[in-house]
Amino acid sequence: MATAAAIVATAIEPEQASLWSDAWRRLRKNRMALVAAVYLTLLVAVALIALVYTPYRMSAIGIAPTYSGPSAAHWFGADELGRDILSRLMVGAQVSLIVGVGTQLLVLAVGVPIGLMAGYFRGWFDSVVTFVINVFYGIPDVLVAMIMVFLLGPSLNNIIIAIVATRWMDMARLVRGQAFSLREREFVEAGRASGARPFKMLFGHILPNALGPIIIQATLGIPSAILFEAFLSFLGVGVQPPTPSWGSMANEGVQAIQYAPHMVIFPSIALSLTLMAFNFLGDGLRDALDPRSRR
Amino acid sequence: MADPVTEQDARPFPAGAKTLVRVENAVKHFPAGFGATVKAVDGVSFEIREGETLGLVGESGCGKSTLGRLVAQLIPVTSGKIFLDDVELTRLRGEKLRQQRRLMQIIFQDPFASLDPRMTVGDIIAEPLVNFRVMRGRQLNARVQELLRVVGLNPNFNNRYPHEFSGGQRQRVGIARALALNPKLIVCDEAISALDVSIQAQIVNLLEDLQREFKLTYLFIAHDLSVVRHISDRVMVMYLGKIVEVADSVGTYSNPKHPYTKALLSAIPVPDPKIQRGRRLVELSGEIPSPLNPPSGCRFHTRCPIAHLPTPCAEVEPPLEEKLRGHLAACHFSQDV
Amino acid sequence: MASPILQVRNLRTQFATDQGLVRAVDDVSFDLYPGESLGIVGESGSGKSVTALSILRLVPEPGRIVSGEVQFRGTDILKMNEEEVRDIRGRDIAMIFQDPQSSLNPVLRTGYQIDEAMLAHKKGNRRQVRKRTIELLRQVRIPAPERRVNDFPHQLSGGMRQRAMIAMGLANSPSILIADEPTTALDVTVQAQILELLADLNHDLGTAIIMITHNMGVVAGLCSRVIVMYAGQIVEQGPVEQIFESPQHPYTWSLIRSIPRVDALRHERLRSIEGIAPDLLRPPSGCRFHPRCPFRVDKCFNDPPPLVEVKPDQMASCWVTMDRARKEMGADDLVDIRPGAGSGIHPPEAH
Repeated sequence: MATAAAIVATAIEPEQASLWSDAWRRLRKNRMALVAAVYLTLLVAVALIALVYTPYRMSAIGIAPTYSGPSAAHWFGADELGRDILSRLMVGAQVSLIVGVGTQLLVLAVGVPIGLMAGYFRGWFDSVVTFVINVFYGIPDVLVAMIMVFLLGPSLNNIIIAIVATRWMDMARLVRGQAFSLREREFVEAGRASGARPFKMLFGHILPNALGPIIIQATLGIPSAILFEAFLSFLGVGVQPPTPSWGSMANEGVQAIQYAPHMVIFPSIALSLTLMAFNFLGDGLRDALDPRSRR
Repeated sequence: MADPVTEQDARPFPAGAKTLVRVENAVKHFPAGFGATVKAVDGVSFEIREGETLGLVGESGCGKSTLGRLVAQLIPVTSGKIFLDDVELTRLRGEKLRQQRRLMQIIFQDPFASLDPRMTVGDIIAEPLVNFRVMRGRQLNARVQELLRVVGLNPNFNNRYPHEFSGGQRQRVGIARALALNPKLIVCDEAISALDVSIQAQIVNLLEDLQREFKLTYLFIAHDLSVVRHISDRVMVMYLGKIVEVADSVGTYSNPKHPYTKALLSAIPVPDPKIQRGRRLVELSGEIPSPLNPPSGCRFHTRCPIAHLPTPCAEVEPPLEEKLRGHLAACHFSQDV
Repeated sequence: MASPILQVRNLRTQFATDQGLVRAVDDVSFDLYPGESLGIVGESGSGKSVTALSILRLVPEPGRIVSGEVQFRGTDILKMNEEEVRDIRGRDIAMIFQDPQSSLNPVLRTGYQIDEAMLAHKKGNRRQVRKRTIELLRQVRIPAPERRVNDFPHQLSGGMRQRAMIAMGLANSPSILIADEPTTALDVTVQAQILELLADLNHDLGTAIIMITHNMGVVAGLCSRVIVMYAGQIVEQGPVEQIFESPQHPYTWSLIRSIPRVDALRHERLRSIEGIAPDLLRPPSGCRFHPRCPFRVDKCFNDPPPLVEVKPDQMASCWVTMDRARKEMGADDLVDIRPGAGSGIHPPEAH
């Protein structure tokens, strides 16, 4: 009710604090988000370590009995070619992170400028962009990804490109909506009145105020991309051997699930934990950045 | 030495004869779907003289905010011409128009919404100077601090964010921003309406002081006629997209020549019980018509207490013409008001 | 003189926010007599709206009424159970708000909503109640009420919606009508009509009105007595003529002088109040107005002044009062020419 809101607003005399440090403070209070952040940091550490060290070479065949379960020498057991699963999981972490973060970076690079321009300038550009977005949405994403991989050839880079091709629309649409509502705000009008050029308007005024939802969308897009890659690998059109991806490892494991369940279980757990962590982090960011929960 | 009290009584800057802004038949129609248009501003002509404060007042739907934005060229006219210092703004586009923005600035109504929440106050004030590459570095910082001081804020506040300030303080930041480029014209679009009563007086005094010091010209738009009369040299009253009366602020009150102005004046409560109890309200029949479909002839005829119907009031639109020296009104029967 | 129908004693309402405790209403006491029109005036954060909401126990979360009494006809509303309070709301004490758009349900016809207000208090069957609804709409001067009664709220203009709200408020012939800034969102010509309507209803029906507003002109026209609130407390109260003629609290005095008058024939610099609104989380010590008061003395910093009678029938909470400020401090002659100032002398430093 207007009365209570008015009271609380005028009562506040906060110490000097930017909106970011305020959000950071709130994020720190969110336990699940903190746990998730810790897990992800560890995961990144593991992936980095894997660049220089893994217990065994990830492609080394026959260093353990095939399908053997967890043991002292091989903590997570071995796969159907006798390769150490732990080592392959560590390298697989690299793949997942590269896919997850790489796709989102490209999605940002493509979706943000398009969305900003469409939402702010509107007119014919917006009509074209909306049309293109709807076309992309119309095609099933698995189909698009598979066709692109088929045309470009399977490689990590091409998978990233394929995933971006199916995901950029979400970001563009979000940013477009943000730009659309922000352009009506008075401080945007004020910016124009003070002589800002259109480029400055987009990147100096609109974008900083849309960063919150953009960051959240990108963070939540990471697990989605990882899952998509895992799915593609599971189908066999993902990363090619001997490069391990958690999805392809799970694929190999499914065939042996009766007698070597550890081959499926460990990559699946890794995948699930990572997806959960990104989701918790994303939710935590959303709560921390929500301007409504400020006052 | 002059008694300080009397010196404050005089209006700050006597109006010069030179015209700063000239508006010729400005029209702004907004499309409203299904072929209908909102005739927000429907043929308005006037001048603003250098150094004066021209007040623009009216109720909802009269078009005053739209007119303010047309003058500041934040929205393009549907037709008509607007001149600033003899430069035809309505003919300019893109970069040329942007350059003209150095001469006219605007202070907005909502102190909470008109400042970018992600920028520091210092950056907000500096932005016009940065946009036009007027100065940089130390010179820029010095100017920002000077502007903060001039509007009555602590110069060390430049690293703070808008949400750390009260409404009145934020409005001062908006004023500092408007002053940054030393503009000739400042459009005040309901600049004090969103503030508490006691803070409004602070800001009104500040605007008057700044006008005196920096030789500014104001277009002061508000719905509160008391404040408009106080701060303005001349007052324009708008109704449904047209100007119905223009007069100096004393004449507006003591001798209105349009029945709408008279009704408006009678409706404003005076904070003095003995006087307020004795006043009579001029009753207007009906409601304000929609700007989608303004009445024919004189737009006010549907509510006017002295309308002669059907002729001429419902058929012939009265021109805005001089009834007394310097006092214009658009009414067929000004003498009866 | 008849006894008061409403007696508020030591009312305290607080909001527990995560930044701390906001004392929105801090020890407020006043009386309301039958048929009286009482104005409660103050700026944002003064507590005037929350006081009104507290009377009917409509304070929203996270607010709570922590202590005090609201005696209506001898019974304390704050001690009633939910059902008894519901009975009183709308039947004995009605309230209308600033924005009729949010108080009227947009998907129900206007007449239906007024009918419901009466049916909820069992004032008859639907047919009888509908007749009265049309009569009420006529009473609030809505033209052609038989037709308008079936309109949806969005089909009515702002002024008419507010009249419909008033009709709903009066439906059960309450003894008190509380109006919380009912005209703030309306055009000034419409506002004047609504105020005239309220004055006539107060006169004709004998309904007491509590008018909550920030506009001194509204108070001057409509109310017979006025309460001035600042930072959750009453700083002055008394008959309207007396308060305007000779305000004793520096806040009231400054407030009246800061308003430009439409009937002013000369341009005089406005006397503004220094500083900004008080922080309700950490209100100033002593007198809450002291940081902004041009006439403060040492005592004002630490001792909160009690609300006492300073003239017959007029109460103010001030150690100095304007009479003394005029005699000893030259209150009327002060001018401050710093940018944006004009309140008088700069508040003196503490010794």
